[in-house]
Amino acid sequence: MRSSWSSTTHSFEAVFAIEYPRMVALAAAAGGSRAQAEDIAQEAMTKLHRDWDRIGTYDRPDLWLRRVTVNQARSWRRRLGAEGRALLRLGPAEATLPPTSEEDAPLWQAVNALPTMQRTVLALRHLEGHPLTDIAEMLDISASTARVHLHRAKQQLQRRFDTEYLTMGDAR
Amino acid sequence: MSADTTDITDEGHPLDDQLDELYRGLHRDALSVDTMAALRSVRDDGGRSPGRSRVLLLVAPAVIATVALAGIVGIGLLDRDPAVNVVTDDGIDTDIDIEADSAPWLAEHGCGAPGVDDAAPSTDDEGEGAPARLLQKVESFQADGCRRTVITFEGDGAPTIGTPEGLYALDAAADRGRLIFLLPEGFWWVGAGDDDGMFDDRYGFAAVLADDAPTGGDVGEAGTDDPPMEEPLEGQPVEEESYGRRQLDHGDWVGFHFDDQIDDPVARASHGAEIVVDHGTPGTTSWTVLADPPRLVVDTVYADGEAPPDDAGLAKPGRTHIWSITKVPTEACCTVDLVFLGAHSEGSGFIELFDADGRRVEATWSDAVTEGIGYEIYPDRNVAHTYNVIAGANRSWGWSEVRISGLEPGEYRIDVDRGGNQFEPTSFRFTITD
Repeated sequence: MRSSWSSTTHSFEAVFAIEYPRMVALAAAAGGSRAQAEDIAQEAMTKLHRDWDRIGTYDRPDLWLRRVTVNQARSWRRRLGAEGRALLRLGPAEATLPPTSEEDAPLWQAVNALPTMQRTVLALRHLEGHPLTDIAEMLDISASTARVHLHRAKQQLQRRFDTEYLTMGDAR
Repeated sequence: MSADTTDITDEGHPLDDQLDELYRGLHRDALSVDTMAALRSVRDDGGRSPGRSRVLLLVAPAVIATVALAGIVGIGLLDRDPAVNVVTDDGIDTDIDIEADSAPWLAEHGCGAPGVDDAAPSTDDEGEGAPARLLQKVESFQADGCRRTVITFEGDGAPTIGTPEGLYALDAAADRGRLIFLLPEGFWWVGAGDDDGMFDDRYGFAAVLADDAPTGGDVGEAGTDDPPMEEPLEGQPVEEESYGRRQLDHGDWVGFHFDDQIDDPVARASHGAEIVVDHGTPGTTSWTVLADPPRLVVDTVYADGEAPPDDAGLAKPGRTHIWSITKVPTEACCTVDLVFLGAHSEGSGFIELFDADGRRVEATWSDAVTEGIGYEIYPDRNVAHTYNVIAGANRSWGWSEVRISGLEPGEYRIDVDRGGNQFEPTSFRFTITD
């Protein structure tokens, strides 16, 4: 998937309208918090806004934006110490992203338990449909590494679901 | 047989449909967010709601103070991971911090938690994931029954330390800085890596902290409150020449340079065996495991039968090699555990087992257990007794345990062969005698 935009062909507002919801979704998927996703996406968009004249002329400003969003999400996740908890206690006052549905909750839980890179690659691949070459560029890794992370993510998810299925079967 | 990493693209994975649906749902949800309000917020006040901004203004100094405090008292007393903020010229902003994951292991071993000292935030570095440019030295001191190790580095990377029990990324970024770890005695290697623990082998090196480490050096007195911080441990980083032939104690670990120039892998005594590491011939390291019978001899040879060039390293890029082989005696001799060390290669290969006459041996291969970063071994989908080896990145590092059972006494050869990519062919022979 390629988001084709630049500061010469699009206004910031137009790009914001397209990319902000996508970044909210990406932040939720990569950071694992729907409550913080909008803050994270806003932070990334703010950085874009701040340097719009420069970033907007990049060959792939969309990749820059995603990298910043992913970094913000990962940083937020790292900060799940005192600061993160304090922010959580404040609550997502302006958050409008609906909570996870009950049906999706087990899979979200499994995805959220994945290591950061695996979770991120999975999101960029399945949420945004990026080719591995783009994902690699965003994350500053090789395409092979991205592929391995993707493979391991699914392997872990599969393993977890197989185990849970077997456990449930034993219980029955 | 091709074993290129394209074999694992996961296209058509059973979970694909579920994942697609899951993320589609998230995307639909995200379309419902108030884009206009967010846009106003970004334009008006820098992207955060006023209330939250005020909170962050309050919290941020506390965090900064916490980070500073971390340099003095260590993270064990803190309620968060210390971190330094890195902002690149491109505006790539991230925190790189000391992962809390390392603390429990250290605490469990009675050595407290690591601390960070003199870490300074970087404002003009290469951003998240950039490897440290230089690891300058390791100093080691005795303190309270643990080694206090000072790692001085330059660059904005994230030093990663490895232990026999696993890999610990102690991420702390700074242009230059000094990390202080309180480590139990044992083997630790230090590599510069990104925040995912992938390290750049060019700057990695190992530290031997065992009592009888041949590096000697100035080691402070046990229990010394103020160890001689400025006295380096001589011989660090460990050079190949430091070793020669050496008898190791049970459980000892020996570390070597992990760079392109040194041709030694990491060896360890495992399962109570004595290991003699002979580095007499460049590139042809032989490990003799003198386990009480049966005796297992492991020789490193090369597939083409020729001596490798002097600079051919078992841990150099493009190689996967058997790290160690241990034998688990069973009633039906024999079961052999292989520990493969994959290092620093991007590519794939495969492993096959042959007898002395070159015939492929039918044996039972267990599923591999893999630790490390960007590296794995997994059974081939089509050939039951062949294992694929995947190293996913230039800076991959890890090991995999593969168990082969049902072997009879005799001579065997294992080929780690070139697959579709950059693995160099390597062979190992081992003999099982009653």
